[in-house]
Amino acid sequence: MLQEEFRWFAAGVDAIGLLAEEAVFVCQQAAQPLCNNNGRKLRIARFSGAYCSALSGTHVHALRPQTGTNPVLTVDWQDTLAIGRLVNTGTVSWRRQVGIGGDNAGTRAVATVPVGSDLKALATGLRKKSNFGSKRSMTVLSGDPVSGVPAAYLHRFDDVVTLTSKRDVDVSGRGNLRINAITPYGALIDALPFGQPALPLMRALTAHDLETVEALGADKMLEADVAQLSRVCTSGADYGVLLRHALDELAEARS
Amino acid sequence: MSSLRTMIAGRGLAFTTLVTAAMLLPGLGVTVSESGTAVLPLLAVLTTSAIATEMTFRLIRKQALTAHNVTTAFILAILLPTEIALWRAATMTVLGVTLSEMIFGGRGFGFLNAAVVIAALVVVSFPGTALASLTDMHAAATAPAVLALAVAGVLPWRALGAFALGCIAMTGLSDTITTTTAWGVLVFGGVFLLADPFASAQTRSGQVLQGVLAAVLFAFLGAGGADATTTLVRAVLLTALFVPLLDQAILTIGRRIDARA
Repeated sequence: MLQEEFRWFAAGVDAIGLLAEEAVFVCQQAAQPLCNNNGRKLRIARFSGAYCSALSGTHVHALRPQTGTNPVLTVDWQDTLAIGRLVNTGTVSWRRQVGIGGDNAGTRAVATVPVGSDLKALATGLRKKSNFGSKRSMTVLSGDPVSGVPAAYLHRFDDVVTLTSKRDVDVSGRGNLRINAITPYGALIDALPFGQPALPLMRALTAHDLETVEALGADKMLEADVAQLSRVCTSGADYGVLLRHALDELAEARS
Repeated sequence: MSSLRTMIAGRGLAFTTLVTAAMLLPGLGVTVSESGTAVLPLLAVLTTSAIATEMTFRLIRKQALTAHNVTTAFILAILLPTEIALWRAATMTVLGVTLSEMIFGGRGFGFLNAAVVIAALVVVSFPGTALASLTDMHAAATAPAVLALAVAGVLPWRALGAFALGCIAMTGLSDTITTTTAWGVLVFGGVFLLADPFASAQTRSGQVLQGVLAAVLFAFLGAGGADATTTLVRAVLLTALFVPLLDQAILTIGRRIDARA
């Protein structure tokens, strides 16, 4: 986060605290607190570790698991910052900071760009010089290497752009609803955050077994939580899309 | 090691079949050296009938043709007696592959090991048929498979380890393991029948319970003096039937613990 923007973050947290009826957790790495911890409604929660520790699903599960009667809302740091700016200046900011990296990026960079930016234009100039001339092998993902999807424009909640090779994307099978057999590799057992059993959920999602999907706690997950499954599993299924379909149908059945 | 696993895992189901089939070749070699070339016609019939059944279903379903059941045929060529009538082997293979895999959608969708089901069908359908005795040489020939399948990430080692520990524990309680069991049955059966990644439990604790249950059943089912190979096939089949229940129980307990926390 740029230093000049920092004050808007604290203001945004305060504004969210006014709207919330219950506790507001600010989840951050083990560093200086990003805002004041008043010990009552507003609390700082520190997370460290591997990829899963940065997922909001992990934070919610650890701090206050969502139930049918106790919904939990998450707001990312850039939206918090935008809210802080809005309530203090009256102006809406549509600009976001994005980190640009990946195997095909010559250098890592941080850029402040509008929401929905043209990713191709953003990637120009950052691509590895050795890869010029082989345009077909280049893919730009909106999002990180695990959960990102090939896109022409920056997605609403993404703050990372990944320049990667087309082959890597094909292996992960993003956007694919094709149902092939799941080979139960040992790596799949640890592929879900907060110790959730991955294989039963994967089978339930691919079999469209909504009852089991709900029983396994999928209603507390987001696409990013299952992104690792799509990457590790060789069935070719996109578990993020399958999860979203299941969540939408469960929500429809409840309403 | 992790990059090697990623590379291997990236190959998918076909690569798993290839590795498993390759790891069965030493065991087949031992059977050929011990039983002579009489096993070769049996192997040809088993392979043809298993693959033909699989391909027929996939053709009807307009799916890409696969030959995953080559591993089923290799395992059966080691397990079945060489003197079995070829028509019996072929019929049971067609029936077993259909019941254990194809009605569920193919390999990776069911919960039973096809070779276990076929071996059990042979024993049940043709009384008096004894499965082949596996020797210490089969155990030695299986040892590389443990390493290869573990590196490929497709060996449910918790189930295998629990089975080994369970057998050691049961040695003092039942005479089955000490008196009638050769190393070959335990090692070959443990790796290729019990620790089948597609027929094993999907949870860590479920895999441990699966291994323990198989060891307990093996000890008690063999108490009447049945041969070790047949006993192991029965034990693994019964265990496989309970595996989905074990997984369900583990998940239910986990949810209740989470709800109380």
